[in-house]
Order: sequence, then C-alpha cells, then structure tokens
Amino acid sequence: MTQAGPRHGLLLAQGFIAILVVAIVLLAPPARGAILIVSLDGDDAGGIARWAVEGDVRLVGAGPMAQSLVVYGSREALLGTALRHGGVLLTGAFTACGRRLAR
Amino acid sequence: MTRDEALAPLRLVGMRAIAGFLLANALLVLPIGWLIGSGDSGLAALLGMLGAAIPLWNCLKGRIDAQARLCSGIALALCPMIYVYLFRSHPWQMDMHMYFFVCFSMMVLLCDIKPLLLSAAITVLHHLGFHLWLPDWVFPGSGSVGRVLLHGFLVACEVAIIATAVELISRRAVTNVQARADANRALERAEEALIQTDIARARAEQALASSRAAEARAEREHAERVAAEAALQELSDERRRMTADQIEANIGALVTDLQSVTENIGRQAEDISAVSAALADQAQGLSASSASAVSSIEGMASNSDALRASIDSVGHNARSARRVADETAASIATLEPGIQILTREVDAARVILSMVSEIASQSNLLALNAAIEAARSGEAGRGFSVVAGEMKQMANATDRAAGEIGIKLAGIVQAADAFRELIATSTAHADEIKASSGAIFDAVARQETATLAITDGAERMLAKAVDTDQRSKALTQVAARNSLIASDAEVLAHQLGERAEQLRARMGGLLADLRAA
Repeated sequence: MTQAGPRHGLLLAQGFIAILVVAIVLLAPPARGAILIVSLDGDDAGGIARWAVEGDVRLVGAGPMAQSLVVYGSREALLGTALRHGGVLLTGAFTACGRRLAR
Repeated sequence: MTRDEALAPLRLVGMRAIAGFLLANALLVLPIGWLIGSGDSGLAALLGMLGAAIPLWNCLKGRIDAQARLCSGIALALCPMIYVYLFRSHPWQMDMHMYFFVCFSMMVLLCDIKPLLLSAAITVLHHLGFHLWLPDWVFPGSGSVGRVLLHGFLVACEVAIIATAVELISRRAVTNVQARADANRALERAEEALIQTDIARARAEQALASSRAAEARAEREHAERVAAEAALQELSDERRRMTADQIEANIGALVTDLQSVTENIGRQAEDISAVSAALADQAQGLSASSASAVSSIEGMASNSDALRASIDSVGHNARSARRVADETAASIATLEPGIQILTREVDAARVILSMVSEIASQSNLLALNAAIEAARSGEAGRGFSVVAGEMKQMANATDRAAGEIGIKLAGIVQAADAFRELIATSTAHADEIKASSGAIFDAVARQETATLAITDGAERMLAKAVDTDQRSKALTQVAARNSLIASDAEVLAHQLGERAEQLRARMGGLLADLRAA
C-alpha cells in the first residue's frame, strides 16, 4: 500500500472524485421539489414539521427513517431554517436515472 | 520500438482532445441548464469541473501513461451522470443517457481498452447496484433484473466493438510507425548511398581528367621524342666525330696526367722511404735517450729515498732538542718561586734587623741615662754605673752586629737579583731553542713533503720515460712499415705507367675505328 499510494495517487484521487460526484448527484436536494429533511438533533417527524413550516413548505409525508420528513418547497427557503435546527436536506424524489417525483 | 512508444503520438493527441472535451462538457452545463430552466446548473458545472480537473492537469504535464489514461476514462464516465442530474426535472432526462455513447466513443482516441473497460464497469455496476439496493432510482416503477442485464449486455457489446476497433487502430498505428521508421532508415541508407555515389562519381571524373591529362602528356612526349630522334639522326655523324676528338683530347690528357701522377707517386714514394729511414734513426735515438732517462730517473728516485731518510733523522733530532728545551724551561720555571720566597724572607729579616737596631739605640740611650743617674747618686750608684757601662757596650755591639747583618742581607739581595736575571736569560735562551727546534721541525716537515713530491714526480717521469721508450719502438716499427709501403708504391707507380702507355695505344686504335665508322 505504501508503494501503490504515490504511484497511483492521481488514479485514487480520480476515483474519489467519481464517488463524490455520484453521491452528490444522487443525494443533492432539488432547487424546488420534494426534499427529504433528516434531523441530526434527534427530532422526530412532528418535531421536524414544527420548524420546517417556517420555510414555507408543504408537508408530503414521513421519510424512510424515524428522524426524517419529506416536504415540498424551495431549497433556498428551507436551507437556513434546517441549518438552525440541525437538519440536513437531501433529495426527496429518488430519480437518479429514471423519472418519478414522489414516493 | 515498443507498442507504447509507437502509440505515444496518437495518445498525446487523444489526451488533449479529451481534456478539451471535458472542459467544454463542464462549461456547456451552464447555458444548457439556463435553457431548460434547471436550478442545479451551478452545482452541475462545479461537478463537471471537479471531474475534469485531474485529466486537465495531466494534459498540461504531457502525461500519457496508463494512470493518466484511466483517469480520463473515469472522467468521461462521469459526464453522462452530470447531464442526467442536470435534466432530472426535465422530460428529456432519460434521453440524456445517450450521451454515454458519445463519451464512450471518445475513448477510441486513447488507443487503450483499459479505460474503456473501467468506464463500462462503472456504468454497469452503478445501475446493477441501484437495482439491488435502490431499484426505484434506476427504473421507477418498472425496474427488473432482466432490464438491467439487458442494458449491461448492450454496454458490453458496445465495449467489445469499440475495443476491437481500438485494437485494430492500435495495430495499424504500430505497423505504420514501424514502417515509417523502416522507411526513414531506408531513406537514410539511400541518402548515404547517394553521397557515396557522388563521391565515387567525383573520383571517377577526377580519374578521367587525370587520364586525359596523362594521355595528352604522353602524346606530347611522343612527339618530342620523334623530333629528338630525327635531330639526333641528323647530328649523329658530326657528333661522333666531335666525340672522338673530345675523347682523344680528354683521354690523351688523362693519360698524360696519369703518367705525371705516376711519376709524382714514384718521387713521393722515394721521399717517403727517405723520411721513413730518417724517422727510424730518430726513433732509435729516442729509444736510447728514453732508456738513459729511465736510468737517471731511477737513480734520482733512489737519491730521493736517501734524502727522505736523512730528513727523517733530522726531524728526530729536532724533536729531541725541543723536548730538552722544554724540560730545561720547566726546570728554570721552578727556580723563580724560590727566589721570590728568598727575597720576601730577606725583607722580613731587614725589618727585624731594624727593630734590633732600634732596640740597641734605646738600650744605648738607657745606658747613658743610667750612667748619668749613677753619677748623681755618687758612691751608691757606682755599681749601677758599671752595669750601665756594660749595657752601653752591649748596645753598641748589638748595633754593629745589626749593621753587619744588614750588609750581608744586601749582598744576599744582590745575589738573588743576579740569579733572577740569570733565570730570565736562561728562560729566553730556552724559548729561543724551542722556537728554533719548532722551525727546524716545520722545515723538516716541508722537506718531507717536497721529498715525497720529488719521489712522485720521479715515478711519473719514469712511467712517461717508459711510455716514450715503448712509443719510440712502435715508431721504429711504423717507419719500417712506411718504408715497405713506399717500396710497394714505387712498384705500383711503375705498373701504372705501363698501363697508361697501353691505354694510350688502345685508345688510338679505338679512335681510328670511331672516326672510320
């Protein structure tokens, strides 16, 4: 490994970039659409809904995890509120290669 | 030349083209996103630049190695993903998958199937993985393994076709490069052969010019020779006569000179005989003189030996005289301290003698006073007057004895002075004897040296006299040989004179024949 690192350093870096690009493409929230909010502070869906409405969004439904909620709205309007309450925004429309807007 | 070396120019062009393609791919995201109303165009452009960063870096560094080619393959695989992401809210999202074929085709420029296989693997595996774990992400609502495998099969077919094309192009390129290298080598050999041909042609032209010059020179010499032969033919009769006259004149003069030289040689031989005889007489005289000189030098050598023995005797006597003089001087030197002691003792005796004289004078004065006092005492002092008279007589006798002792001491001092002068005279004489004996000793040493030099000179003279005697004997032998040679020269001169006469007679006949020819 110590010999392979410097010799294949650029190739490993390119692989890391590829994984990073794929992850961002898959998980980045849309500018406007279904957005998955995941709470890092341990709030449940109700708790998340209480501060999520401050961002002028429409509730869609519970997310795949206990501390998550799917809403429909603007990414820019929701981003500041989510950062203040310890929430992370992900895509709520799982359309990596296909086309579908809601679960 | 290896395969990589042959494909390097093509790969360099391909790497540059792909780098430009990746850069354009990232920049075109912005206007396309604006056209379709996407709100993710900024992030998509950023992702496009991020994926193209390392291939651009490799292009700037001129890297075309396997690692750089794989990086370009990965970047090309990311391009369709970015555009599918950009179109994710657009009805044409599924159509952007066809962009995959464009990116795949770009990898033909790399002339390498490894980036192709890697890119295909990324495409197939991410679809297969999504189907296994997130099936709605691939084909929402209608996904199945068969559909994913169908897409994988199509991608594999695409890869197989492109890989075959890449291999064919690569082989063709390698063949072309090798053929071009062979052609270059052949061209170099041809150019070298052309240079050699030019050199050979220049040499041939030079040789031809030399041949023509030689031919012209031969023709010229031939003409000259023909002309010379004709002239020689014309002049041959006159020249023969002139030649005969010149030969007669020259040979006659030569014979005359030869006879003259012969006579001179005869006279010179007679002179040499006479000189040799005189030389032999002188050599015999010289031999006798050298023998006499040897005898005299031997006598002188014996006399010098006797003289050296006599000088040795004189030297021995001189050393004896010097030793006696040294001993005498030493003995005289021991007398001087005794005389000095004697003088000091006499001086001390004089002091005592003066004290005795003083005592005698005081005793006389005391006796006089005693007589005066005795006379004043009258009858009572008569006896005392007698004693005073006796005392006065004794004082007078003492004074006389002191005077005589002083006279004796003066005589002793005088005698000591005379003896001291005698010692000084003796010492001076001893020194003179010592100096004389030293001078005699030095003279004897010089005479010994001179005698040795005389002896050496006599020996060298004797050696030279002996050498002279031997040389005189050798001179006598040389004179005898000279006499014999002179006799032989006389005989040869006589024979040479006869031969000259014979030559004159034969040349007369030969010239007669020449003139008659």
